Amino acid sequence: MRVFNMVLFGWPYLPDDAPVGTPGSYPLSNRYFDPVRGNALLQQELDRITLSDELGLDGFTCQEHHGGGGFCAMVPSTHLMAAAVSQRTKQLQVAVTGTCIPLHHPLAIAEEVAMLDHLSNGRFIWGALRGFPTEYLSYNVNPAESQARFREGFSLVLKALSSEGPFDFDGQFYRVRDYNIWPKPLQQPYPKIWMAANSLDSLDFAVKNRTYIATPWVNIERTRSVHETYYRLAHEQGVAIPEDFDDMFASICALYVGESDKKARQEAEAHLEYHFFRALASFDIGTVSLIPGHMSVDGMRDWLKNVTSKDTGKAMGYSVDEGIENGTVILGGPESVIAQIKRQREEGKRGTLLAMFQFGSLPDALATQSLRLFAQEVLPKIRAI
Amino acid sequence: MSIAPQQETLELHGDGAERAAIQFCYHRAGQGPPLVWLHWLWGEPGWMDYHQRLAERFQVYVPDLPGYGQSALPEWAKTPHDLAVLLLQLFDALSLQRPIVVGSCLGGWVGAELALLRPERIAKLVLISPLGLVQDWTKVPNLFYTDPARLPQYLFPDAALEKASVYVPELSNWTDAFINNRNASIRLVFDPYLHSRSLRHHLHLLTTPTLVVWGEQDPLLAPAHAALWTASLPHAHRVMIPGAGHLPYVEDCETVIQAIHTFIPPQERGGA
Repeated sequence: MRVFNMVLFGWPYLPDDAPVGTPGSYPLSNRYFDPVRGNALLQQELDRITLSDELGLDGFTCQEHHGGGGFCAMVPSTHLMAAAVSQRTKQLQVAVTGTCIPLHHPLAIAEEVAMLDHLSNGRFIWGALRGFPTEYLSYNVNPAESQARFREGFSLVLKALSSEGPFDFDGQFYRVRDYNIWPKPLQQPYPKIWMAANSLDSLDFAVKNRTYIATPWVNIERTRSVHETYYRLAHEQGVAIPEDFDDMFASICALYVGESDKKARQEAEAHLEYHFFRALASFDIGTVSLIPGHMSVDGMRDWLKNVTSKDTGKAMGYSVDEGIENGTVILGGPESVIAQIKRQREEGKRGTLLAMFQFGSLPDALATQSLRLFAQEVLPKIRAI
Repeated sequence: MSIAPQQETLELHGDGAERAAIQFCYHRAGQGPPLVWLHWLWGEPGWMDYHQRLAERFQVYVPDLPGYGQSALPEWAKTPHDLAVLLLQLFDALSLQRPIVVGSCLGGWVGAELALLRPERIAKLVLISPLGLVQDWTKVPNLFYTDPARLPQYLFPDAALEKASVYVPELSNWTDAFINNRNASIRLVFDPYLHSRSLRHHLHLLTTPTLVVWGEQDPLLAPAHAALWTASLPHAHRVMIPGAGHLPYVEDCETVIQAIHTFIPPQERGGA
């Protein structure tokens, strides 16, 4: 099992009266954002990524979200974060999972991917993401075009990354004549690509474009079925699956290691609850899902079904026990954590954990303590899993 | 006189490159001069009392606009102007040489585009709180992202809210067809929101006799928008409907029908 430190930057200082979880609560007013505290969070997180590198974690990743994204997330530009991390680290892979293609010009994405590959000395992994319909509303990009723009933009990014000599591109949304990017990426023809995929449609696209898969916040059964579907589609289409596909098959989780199960729960439970019930609740998924055009009727119903808590009935409103059960949370003393990771691999087919070491309102010191304990007690024992 | 609407589907095969193959579904009833009713943003709930009243004097066609109901929206079509181009194919297929066009909301905008494209093909035009011209789009309620419980208030005045559910069902009653109609609507009018930046500059070319009807209590597009239209169409008539919202024929069917009848004198109508 490989482990990336994934940074979401949830805002831990929401007052009780912040209007989260109410219809239309995205975007949360940025009067709740305190610049001095926000800056401290960013610097602490960068320090923890540097530490993750020293402690031998496999990588770093982050996700693009706008206006807090509904998670009070603080990464509107994954490429800027990746650039910063590339200069502070030596060994770990620098990933983004990923870039909301339709919200940028695909040529700019290709140019930045090439730059990031050089800045990181070939340690960069790019990620392609469609994102949430709210973010399209905010950027005034038609949600009904998000799928078509994503696919066409993805093709243009790949063409720009891999074309030798000036090329032309004639699309519905993007048209290019006689251009090529400079520099080309260090890794040839281009860095590995993770695609945030979950539906049959997006998996088919991933197979056709030879990408690796990073699933969004979904349960263990779902990642297993995604894995199966990818293999089936690749087989049907005669596409060779890369040797490292399973090891790169990635899933998101919140991770906390304490000295014992009891201590871990004492230290982290309230902060996990804050993550699921306060920070994530600033994104009212019910209302967001009703934004027309972004998903098909079936796609919307399927997605909601797979992220809805069986306990609370809320989208992503998991209790801690439910989170452990469905694989979105890894929590406990070292032995329990090892067992949970083993189960993630065996039952969920997960090969790379995109693990949030900081989540919800978890204080900096506890996140760092958990990271150190993880590197010392867990990491050596999960390499062979 | 009993008038039973027929529901029909037409497959238009097109003629190759320029005219698309497309499917249109429509209701038809009544006798008299042809009148095409173009529905509002989220589609017509069915054959309604105002269609019935018009069918007493006209041969009324109520098509599902492309993308709505069973009518297909080709991928290239992205604007109300494109819908007008497609509708002209339907007019040809139905041998509608010079129908009266009555359009509500989105349908009003499409009607104006039709009259701009082919003035000789439209006898008279009735625009019922049409989209297309908006004073300040950031102040117009957001129909695409809001608490669904608030949607009725964006279209109907408080006194008419009990009639809203036919047009905007409660969330638990959203059918796949309704969701599909909303998906079509965002393709057409998302940006610029509910309007066009060029339409205002085209309207001086619109010479078709036009009636503008507006609900005095329209919560979506305030009645001042009626003056935007009549300022661009100096010969247009204007009728304001007291107590009515964005779909004024819901609150006051008779006044709207009377306004249409007054605008289209008996010799231009059919029936007795």
